[in-house]
Amino acid sequence: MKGARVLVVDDDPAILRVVRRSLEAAGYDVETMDRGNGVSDRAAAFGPDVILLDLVLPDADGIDLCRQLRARKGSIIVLSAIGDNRKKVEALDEGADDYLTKPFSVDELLARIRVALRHQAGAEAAPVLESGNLRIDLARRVVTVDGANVRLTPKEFELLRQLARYPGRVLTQRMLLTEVWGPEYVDDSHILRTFVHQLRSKLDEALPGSGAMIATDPSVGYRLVEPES
Amino acid sequence: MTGWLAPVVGEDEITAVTMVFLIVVLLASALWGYLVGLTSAILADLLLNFFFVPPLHTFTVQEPRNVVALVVFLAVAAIGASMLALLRRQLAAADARRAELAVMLDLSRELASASSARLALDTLAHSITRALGARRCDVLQRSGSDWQTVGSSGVPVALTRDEVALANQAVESGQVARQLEPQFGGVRLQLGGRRIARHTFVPFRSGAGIPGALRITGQLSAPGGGDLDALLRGMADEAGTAVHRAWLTEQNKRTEAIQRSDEFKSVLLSSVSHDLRSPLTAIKAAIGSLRSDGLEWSEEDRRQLMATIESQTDRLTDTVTDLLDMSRLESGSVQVNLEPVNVRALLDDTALATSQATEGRRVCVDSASDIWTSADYGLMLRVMTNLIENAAKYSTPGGAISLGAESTGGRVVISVADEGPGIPREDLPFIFEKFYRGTTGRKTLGSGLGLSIVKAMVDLNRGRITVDSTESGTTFHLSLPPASAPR
Repeated sequence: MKGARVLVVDDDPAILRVVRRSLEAAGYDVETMDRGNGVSDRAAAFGPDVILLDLVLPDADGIDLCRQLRARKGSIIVLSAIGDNRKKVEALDEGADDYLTKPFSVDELLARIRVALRHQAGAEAAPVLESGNLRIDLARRVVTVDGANVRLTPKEFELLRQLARYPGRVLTQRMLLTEVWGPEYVDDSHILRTFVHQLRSKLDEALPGSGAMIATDPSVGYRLVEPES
Repeated sequence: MTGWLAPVVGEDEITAVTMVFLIVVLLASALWGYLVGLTSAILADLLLNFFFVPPLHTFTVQEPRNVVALVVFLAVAAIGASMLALLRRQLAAADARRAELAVMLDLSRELASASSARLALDTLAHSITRALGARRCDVLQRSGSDWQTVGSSGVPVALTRDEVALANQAVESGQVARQLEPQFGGVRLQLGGRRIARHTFVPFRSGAGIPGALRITGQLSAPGGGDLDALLRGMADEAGTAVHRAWLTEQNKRTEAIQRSDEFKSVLLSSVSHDLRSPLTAIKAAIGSLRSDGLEWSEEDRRQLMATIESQTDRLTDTVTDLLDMSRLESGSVQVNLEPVNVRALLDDTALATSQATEGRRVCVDSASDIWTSADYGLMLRVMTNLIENAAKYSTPGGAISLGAESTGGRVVISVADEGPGIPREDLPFIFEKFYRGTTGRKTLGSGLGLSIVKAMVDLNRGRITVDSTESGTTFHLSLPPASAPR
């Protein structure tokens, strides 16, 4: 994915400088903006594959920008200050694809960009989803971890399928509840927690330690992480 | 009675007959009031004259002493009747006053038992509604030219322009103002000769001089038929007192919050100098070393300097996170969403989330799978994470950490135990205080805010946190309200 385009929007010149240098060193084509005004036009002209968007800008509301930008193809990764969970979740629900909490390490940033680009490349759902040791056969509804069969209820299967569709990317509680249980369950986060707990136990049973593949982003949601090998 | 007495009574018993008539007159007066009493006195006088005073069956009187007797009878009967009527009126007035007093007493009692000053105003509105048979009552307060509802027996509604004018009129004149029901098709809606009032505005002035008014909706009547306006004024006085009390409480709370945040800031300033400056110093020194031209660094040295910069940055981040958390908790801007939380899932989740911090240690979870507590999941996850990271930081390296939960005495008790050296006895009472680091903890990193943040979060979950510590380990106990499993 060398040569992919990244637009960085942040009002802090020091962050722009460091991020630009790191991304260019990693082979990306980078443009930066220090304000929110005109981001849409700039995005239309530059055509970035990924936009890194600071949620707190002096002249624009990051959530509004997410809403404006979500129609175009390409991923949005929002950058937010520590502790600002509510804003983060709102941005994700309004079309952002992922988030990074400041301060973040360059390795983390590069990993998230890779995840975003990979999703764009394989946007069509494959009949078989594979993520690390996990293999989900959508047609046959069979889940295996390292070859060992995992018996799941329909809801557990659906939950795992949603997470595995976007490995590495956070899915908010709202998204998961809406997708798996339906919009009327959007506030029943305890259901989601119970199912995640069951799912982890079943994965652990099949292969000890594999339950940790479903990671909790406290107060935000869940993501499927590929086990470090 | 006259017909029955007339044949049997002779001239000599006329005195006895007079007495009987007098009793009848007084009774009539006592039962039906002065006018009836006076009429019956005159009637009795005429009857006496006609049937008992010779010559009988005429209105003429033969003997002068009988004339005197009749006149005296009339005078005594009239005076007696008027005195009895007066007594009756006084009794009625006393009854009304007693009813009024009972209403006011009930009012003050209910006001005194209200748990908060704000709630007291709603209670007052409810009591007034009930006592006067009204439809609803609102306690209004004027600030500038706006009227706001500070207490209500229902859902507060904004005042119409007419109502604002009436409320202002009531406050400025100091008199009760009434808005009458509109007339329908020329027919006046009347009750007891008076037009029906839709709203009654009773002005009051609170102790702080804030003008206000009661808006009472519906047709009102004083219990016991007493003076309605006097009762309304008494109620308005109560309202004035209650509004004043609410204002004082509000003022008090604000002062306390300011004091708390002032204290927090002063402690913060002295702490920040250490907590933020020392990692900054380390980072600056490391960068300075790396940049300096005169020095040649080996690969190992460079790696170490870089590691210092990274770890010190993490330390700064932790401190800033703690400070932000604490100030958010202090200012009361943390939203709490209490819901049923499965404790086993919470403990497993926490163990997973802290697996990095507890690397190289055994973490065991011992809890039944059907214990539920009412808590904010996000906050509780933070509490548990903090406690486990704390245990990992302060206990003997490699020691086990045990998480447990049980339902006892109607509460859910979660425990976090380590196999550390324990907390010194003299530190125990202070460990939940802000910026307290203890006498031996200084060598370890931390903002000194961790446990006070934990405590504040536990408080928000309506829980309690306690600690036991011996030389062989420290155990934190969280006591939380239980909940039943959802659906």
